[in-house]
Amino acid sequence: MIQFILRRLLMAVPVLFGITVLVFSILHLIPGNPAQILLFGSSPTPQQIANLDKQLGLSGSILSQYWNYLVQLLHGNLGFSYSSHQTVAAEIGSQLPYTINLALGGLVVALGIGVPVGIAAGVRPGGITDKLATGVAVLGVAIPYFWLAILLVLLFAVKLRLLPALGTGSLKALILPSIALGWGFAAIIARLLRNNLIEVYQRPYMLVARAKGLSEWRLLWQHAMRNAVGSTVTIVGLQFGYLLAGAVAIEVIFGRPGLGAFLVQRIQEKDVPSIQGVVLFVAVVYLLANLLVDVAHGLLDPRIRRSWSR
Amino acid sequence: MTGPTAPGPAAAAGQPPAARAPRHTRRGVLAARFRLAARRDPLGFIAAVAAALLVLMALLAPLLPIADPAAIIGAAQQGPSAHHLFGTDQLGRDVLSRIVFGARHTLLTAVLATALAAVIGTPLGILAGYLARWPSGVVMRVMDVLLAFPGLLLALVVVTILGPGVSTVVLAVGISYTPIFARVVYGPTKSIRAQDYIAAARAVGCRPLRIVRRHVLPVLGSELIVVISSAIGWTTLLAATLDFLGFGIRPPSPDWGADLSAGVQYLGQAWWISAAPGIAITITILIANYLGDFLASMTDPDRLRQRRSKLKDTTQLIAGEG
Repeated sequence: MIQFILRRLLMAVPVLFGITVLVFSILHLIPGNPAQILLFGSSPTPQQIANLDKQLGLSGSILSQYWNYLVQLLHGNLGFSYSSHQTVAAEIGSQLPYTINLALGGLVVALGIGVPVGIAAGVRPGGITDKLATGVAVLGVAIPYFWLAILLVLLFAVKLRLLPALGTGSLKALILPSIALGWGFAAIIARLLRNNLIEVYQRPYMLVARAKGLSEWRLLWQHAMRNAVGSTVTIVGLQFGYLLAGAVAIEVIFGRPGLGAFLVQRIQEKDVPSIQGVVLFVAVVYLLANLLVDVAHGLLDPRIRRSWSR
Repeated sequence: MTGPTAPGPAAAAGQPPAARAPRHTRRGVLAARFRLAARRDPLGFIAAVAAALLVLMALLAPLLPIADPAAIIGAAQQGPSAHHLFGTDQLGRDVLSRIVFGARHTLLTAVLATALAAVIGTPLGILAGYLARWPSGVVMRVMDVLLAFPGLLLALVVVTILGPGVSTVVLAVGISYTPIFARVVYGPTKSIRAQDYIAAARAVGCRPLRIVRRHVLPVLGSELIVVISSAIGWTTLLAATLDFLGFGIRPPSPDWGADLSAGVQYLGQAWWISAAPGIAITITILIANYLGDFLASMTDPDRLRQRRSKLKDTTQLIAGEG
């Protein structure tokens, strides 16, 4: 088990390295002089540009610049925002709680709707529940989440006046954004779980389990679910990153603060250090989430562990 | 499901033999499979027809009897009526004609981006799957790095580098989907490579390029068609998201994502301004998904013999990864 976790960690190292290279190169891929890009909007004098070049070590070779960037990263220094005059790390820290709340809310909606619907549909494929659930799931995947957000605001905030559309104060204000964010994800989980359950129910060992007189309930939880849940767990990990990315549009629509709204604003302001910081942060969180999911998958399923030790 | 399930002459029994194309030609086979798939999967058939109509609508938009999408033709924020089927927008422009003309831009973006992703991603995936030595490791690790950025985030990185604009959106969406094509092709290529007929081809002295072209690509073909078809739905969504966030086309031109975002402010008074483009995006994604399933049934005879309710669908293939 420990060997499996170590191997999985080792696999993540090159990806982590690649992420830093890509994020580092954002500044250098933008046409123009990096120092000038960093001082965008403040109409800098040539003297200021030269000073910044020196201060950030932008005048050295690209390799030494990357090395500096890595060293700064390891010290937890994500750079300095020129539009807000704060460190990027501090700004991410202040925006992060809002996005975490939203992502968790979306995850709760996704699992809370997706898992029961997927089970109900998968146990009796072709039945009325399945047809209904598949229809809803298809719509769930197809409706753009930012449009769903608008529909929810229209229905519950503008017409019925049941829930607030804007604001971040109460738990109530989190309901609509969470549904908008989690709905499509719920649809994916439901379809995946349904397909896996259908496959598992066709296996011979299910026939044996049924023949020895197990109740349908135990059949489902002890035999079917344990085998069907594996790839669903992987998808939850894969999709967690999309919850973080989806938060971008949702936060803009609901006027919520958070990493996504922050990122969009800073892209408009061309504040490159902030953009680099957020992109790096989200990618690393996503990487860690997938790592955790793989480890969890390995814990659940010994076959996965074995396939990794080859 | 209705209709005969066995492939073969029974599939087209209802029609006089003279109306059919000869079986032995490639076109004849495709036509027969199309009829068979249409019977097995009526929903997919509807999607195929709808997709054709959608493309026709976009292509023929200037010839249709609708208002100029940029012209102010009446009072602002009129509700849907016989005169203006989808109402008028915040400036008094016809929403229906903005949807029809917006389809040109939105769909073209999605198709170009998908083509870009397929053209870059597929060869990379084949290369990695076929070579299976260190180049494979390098290519797939690079794809892993790109996949480490959730789709929208990677697209926003491209927007940061290139600055907002129409061509930026195409590139951003295309690059975001490139690793998905590489991933989808990589696995099957690897297993094809282990087949005996590849070893045989190599034994008779075929060059790698010829093996890939003659023996690998045709096997991947059906899978690729399916992925491309469903990918168009997801690239539509991602392109619309970027336009919605204001990183794409500039306001006066009609576009689904941009119009949707313009209507958000008027939600209380005139919901139809943003409802119409939202419905258009939803329908496009639905069509793309069902078309993907339909094409899968058409190209893979095994699928035709299965009951539809037991089938795995292609939606999750992309949705799960992008």
